[in-house]
Amino acid sequence: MDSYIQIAPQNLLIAAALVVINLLLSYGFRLGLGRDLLWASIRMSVQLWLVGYVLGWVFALESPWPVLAVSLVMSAIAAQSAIGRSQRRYPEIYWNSLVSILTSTFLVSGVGVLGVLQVAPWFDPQYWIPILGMLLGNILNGISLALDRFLQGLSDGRFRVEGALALGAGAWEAAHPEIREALRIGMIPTINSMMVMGIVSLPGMMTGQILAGADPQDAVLYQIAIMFMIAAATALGALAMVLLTFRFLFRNHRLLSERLS
Amino acid sequence: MAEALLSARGVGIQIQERWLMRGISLELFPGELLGLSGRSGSGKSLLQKALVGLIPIAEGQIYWQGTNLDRLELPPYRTQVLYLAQHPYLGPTTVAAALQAPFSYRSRHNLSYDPKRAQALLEFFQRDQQFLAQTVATLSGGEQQIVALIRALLLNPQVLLLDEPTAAMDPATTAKAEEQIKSWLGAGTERAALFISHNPEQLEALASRKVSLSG
Repeated sequence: MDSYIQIAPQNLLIAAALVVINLLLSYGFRLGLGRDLLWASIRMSVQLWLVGYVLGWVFALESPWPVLAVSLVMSAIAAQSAIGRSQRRYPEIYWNSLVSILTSTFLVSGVGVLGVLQVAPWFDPQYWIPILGMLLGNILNGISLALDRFLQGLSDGRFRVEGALALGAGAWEAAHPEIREALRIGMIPTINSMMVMGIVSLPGMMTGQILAGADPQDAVLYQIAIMFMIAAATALGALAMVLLTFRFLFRNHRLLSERLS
Repeated sequence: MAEALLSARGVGIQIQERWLMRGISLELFPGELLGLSGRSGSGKSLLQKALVGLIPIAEGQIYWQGTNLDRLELPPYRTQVLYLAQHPYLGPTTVAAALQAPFSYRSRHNLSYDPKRAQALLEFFQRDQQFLAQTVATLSGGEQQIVALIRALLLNPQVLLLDEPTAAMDPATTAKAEEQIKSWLGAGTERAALFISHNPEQLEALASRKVSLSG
């Protein structure tokens, strides 16, 4: 494929200079933005550079095992990030997050490569890895938001939940308002981005394909397919996380509030 | 004497590794109103919550009509043994919705809300139809206790665990509440109540037997 222009290393410095300008502004006006921006820029560059190497290596091997290994590592990191920002934790939280992420991504990516794209072999990293990556990035936000809202909701609404239980509600009935609210919050970013897609924002994957020389019509079809997959995987991941958390926090129709800290 | 409806045997409650009570035993027999007293912080409310399985017990057993609580399906059990918290949660809705909410639970599918009975009880407490449309948040503490008590009576439990149910009520309303509790208790021979109060005179007048929780 030679329908796109390669970036020469020295020209990348021009892009980096844009950040340097901001760093200078930050120091000049004492905005305190410099350290974070610098650290984030360095991390981003090193991480992507490494990933480029790993992917090149995985692409060359043409075997499902390295693809699966990379997928697992990506999922494990996503599972950690999904719970990283949560104020409240409970002991099994990491495993619940990992299980939710693995089931939702592998299920939806599987349907994607086997059903929608009909990739052969299924593990062809050219398709599997970018799809998985896009799903993970979105599921991670969905889980993170839903989990935080659910734990916060149960903590703030403890009296409401216990009141309902005391009146004869089952655990599911008592926690239902919190479960609903958590899933709604978890889906907001995905639904919002779908609402304005193409009008306010041009999605990254589609722009990437167009830059790489793909026909815009084809790029659009890919984008629509991936958005359906993202929406489904995010809903599934958030639901799994909320259900696992629900299972952990309620036992025999009792809220185990000591686990909520 | 008949078999106890509800009994606690050597119950201990622990919160964050700290024992709040240990070795508590009590029995509640049909037909009685058992007064439960004890200084603030002695764990009376916790004991009531444990009796309906809202909080776990760290040692001992609780039996309902001879069956260990661990072996009971709790939602149906809680329709028979109703715990009425001192600060009842009534929801962000109107009084009418708060009264009706528990009737939608699956465990209560065989019971439906009786608007006539609700109205009669409201009238007894000198509250009119307009009271039903009020939002719970606009009610005083005493009025919230009235709503919670009316709701408890409409739910027709066999046992009531009452946690200072009249603490926020004025004397006249308190007398009405006591009258309702007594008439509910007298309406069936298998009924009983466990009544927490900080007012010795109230327990003296109401309770058929008293126990004190010191700990």
